[in-house]
Amino acid sequence: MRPIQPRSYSISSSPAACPGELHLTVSVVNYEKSGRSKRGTCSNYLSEIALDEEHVPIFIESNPNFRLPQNEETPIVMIGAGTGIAPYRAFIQHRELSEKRGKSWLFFGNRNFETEFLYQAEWHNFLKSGALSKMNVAFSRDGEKKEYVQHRLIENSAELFKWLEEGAHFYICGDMNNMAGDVQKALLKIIEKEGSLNREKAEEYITKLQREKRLQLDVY
Amino acid sequence: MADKKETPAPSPIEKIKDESAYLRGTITESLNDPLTGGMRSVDQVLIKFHGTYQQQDRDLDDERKKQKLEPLYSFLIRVRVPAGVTTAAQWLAMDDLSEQYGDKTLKLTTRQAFQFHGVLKRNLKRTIKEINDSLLDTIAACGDVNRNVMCSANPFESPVHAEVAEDARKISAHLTPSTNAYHEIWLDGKLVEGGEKEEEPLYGKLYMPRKFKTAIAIPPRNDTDVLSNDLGFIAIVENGKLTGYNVTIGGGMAYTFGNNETYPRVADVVGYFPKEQIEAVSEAILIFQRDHGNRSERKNARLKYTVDRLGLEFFYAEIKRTKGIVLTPNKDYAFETMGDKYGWLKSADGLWHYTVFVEGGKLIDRNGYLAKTAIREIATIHKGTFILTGNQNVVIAQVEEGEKSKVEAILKKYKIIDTAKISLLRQNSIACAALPYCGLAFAEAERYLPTLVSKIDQLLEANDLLQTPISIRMTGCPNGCGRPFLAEIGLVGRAPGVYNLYLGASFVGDRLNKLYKEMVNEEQILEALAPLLEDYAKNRIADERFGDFVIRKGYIKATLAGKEFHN
Repeated sequence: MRPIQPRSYSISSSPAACPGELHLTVSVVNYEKSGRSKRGTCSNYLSEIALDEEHVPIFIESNPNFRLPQNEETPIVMIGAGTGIAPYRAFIQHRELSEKRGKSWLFFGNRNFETEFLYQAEWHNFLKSGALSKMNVAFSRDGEKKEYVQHRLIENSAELFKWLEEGAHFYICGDMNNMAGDVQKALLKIIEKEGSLNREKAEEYITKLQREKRLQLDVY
Repeated sequence: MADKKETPAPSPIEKIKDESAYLRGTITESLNDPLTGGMRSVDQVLIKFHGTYQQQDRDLDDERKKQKLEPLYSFLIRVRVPAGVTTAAQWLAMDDLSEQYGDKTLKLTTRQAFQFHGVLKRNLKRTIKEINDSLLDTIAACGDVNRNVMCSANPFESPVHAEVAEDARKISAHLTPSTNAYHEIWLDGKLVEGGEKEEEPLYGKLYMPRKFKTAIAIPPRNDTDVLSNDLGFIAIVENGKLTGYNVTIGGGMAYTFGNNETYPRVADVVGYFPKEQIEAVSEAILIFQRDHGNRSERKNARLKYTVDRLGLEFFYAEIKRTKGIVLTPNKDYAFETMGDKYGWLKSADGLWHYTVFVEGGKLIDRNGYLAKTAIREIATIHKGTFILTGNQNVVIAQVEEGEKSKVEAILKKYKIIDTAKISLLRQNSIACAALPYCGLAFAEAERYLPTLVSKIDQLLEANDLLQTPISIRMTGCPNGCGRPFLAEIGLVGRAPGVYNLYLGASFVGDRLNKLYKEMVNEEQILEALAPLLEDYAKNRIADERFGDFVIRKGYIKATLAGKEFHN
């Protein structure tokens, strides 16, 4: 028998804000497709553990390439879909505690507003307190047309480019198949349009961002 | 001027109205905010004037808090239906909208209006637009304005029903707010250009001090509970012709627990006028309340308190001064019941009318009983009208002799309940919506009364009282939207499973009940009623009503005026 592979989850809490705790954002996989049922091993395991009953074996895998900027006042733009919102909760919990903090902008997408607006009540509070400056959302199954985070990015093209030019760090977190590629395409379009650059120059712009660690990905 | 005292500060709601630019507020911005399913708090007040209320599914509150989600917000939309009369096409439109944007139920209200529940904010505008496309509307269905104008739903027994319903429509149109805000916000109307035009010639910027309810009753039927309204008209028919109306003022249901300055009140019948004056009389009384109602204390704002404070002499003087209205002594009339008559009935003109019993006014397909689908199917072939009743039922009206069998076939197909099988108590029951949507409810009403009625029916059966109609009404709170204070058995929620029990109202809606037992649960309610019903069965005199019997036998004192309700 092969050993079961470990599953990775992005930590969704800030140690400063939630000392002694680790929060995870886990989507429980449990559906049927083409007559076959798919049940996520780890997600179902985690959701079914009784409190105080079990110890869960974990280890921390560091990702040095998905970090808040060193300078607390640097603006940040966070783009995520589904459970990809997890690390951003940690980021903003951290920023909530900072005395001087830069502006922040969160783009979040999921399927349905009423049931899948992850941590909605907390985002409302962060917006009120100013820990989060702006938030845009896209819920693909709610409207007549399917709308995703990349549509929100394009709609805010001018201001996003302004933030880029001001030195903002950009983050993309989420499912590899569904959004990372589309989001990067959208960013390219924005840079072309607002920067009046051709495709080649725009791609150079992005490469420069990556080199400067101003475009970070946590894609799975 | 009558009031020379210093007026205290206006209530906060007055300020919201004042600053709203004739009910615009920031409603459009609130609608467009994608981060919340609710609206800004000021806009929550203003949207009422547009016919919608923000609600939340209270059954889910705890779970959603745990999930770090805001409450599940949704909107009630109330559709105005003057006199309760709609066309078949309008019925189909309402049914479609309830399926597409609502929670797939149609609530028929106690004021002859349609209500949708569960409409999400992102669908609110298009639902309201489609309602208007069907030539109904939602404006002034709620808020500090004249509400849906009621009219007895008895085409089967009154030759003047059509004419009186037309009068109801006239009043409704005459007293509808003029503000262009409704068109701008919901119907993509153009913003009115240039400067402050006179947007509300009748209401003014501050609208009414409180809600204002108008109803017409055509004797012998008081199915609109006319004496529970701020403004009421009792049709006077002489030799089969409508000559005019007795006008009634100052009815109103609500009170606040523990506050004896608040009380339900039965209207005063203040005089007669010829029918041509109905719009002028309506306007005169509306502006009387507009100008003299209490704008500082909303719990004291209804016309019932204005009348008790300023007196009828002043009222007569004012309507004469402002609109030249002079009333003559009341003409004779008699009410037989507040309830509906069910099943097939034929009017003098040879048309048929079928009144469908809809428990709690809730049209829903459930548990194999497809009442909503049945009426929808009838609407696809019906050439007459539908009339919503003040008892939350619906009349399939003006069915031609040749069409009767087609309607009958559909009723049979869906096994629409034979009213003979429904107890008289149930036939005379009303429950407000209460939980899960109403934020004011302390206890269940619509979802519980049917069960309680079954248990009281057992008591009635044990005492051989099943052939005696008794009225019973339950509400989740003392605002009294289900008019519980005019029921022979009134129940008002205090806490989950716990109610106040009121007894002693008149069967025809002209006397309030009075508090009999406070904070009782089901077992205690049945315990309290059992000996009374036994005594009633044994010792009533001829056709004596239960509400009259309990007074004669001294179980409860009669409430002869609103001010005496707490005594």
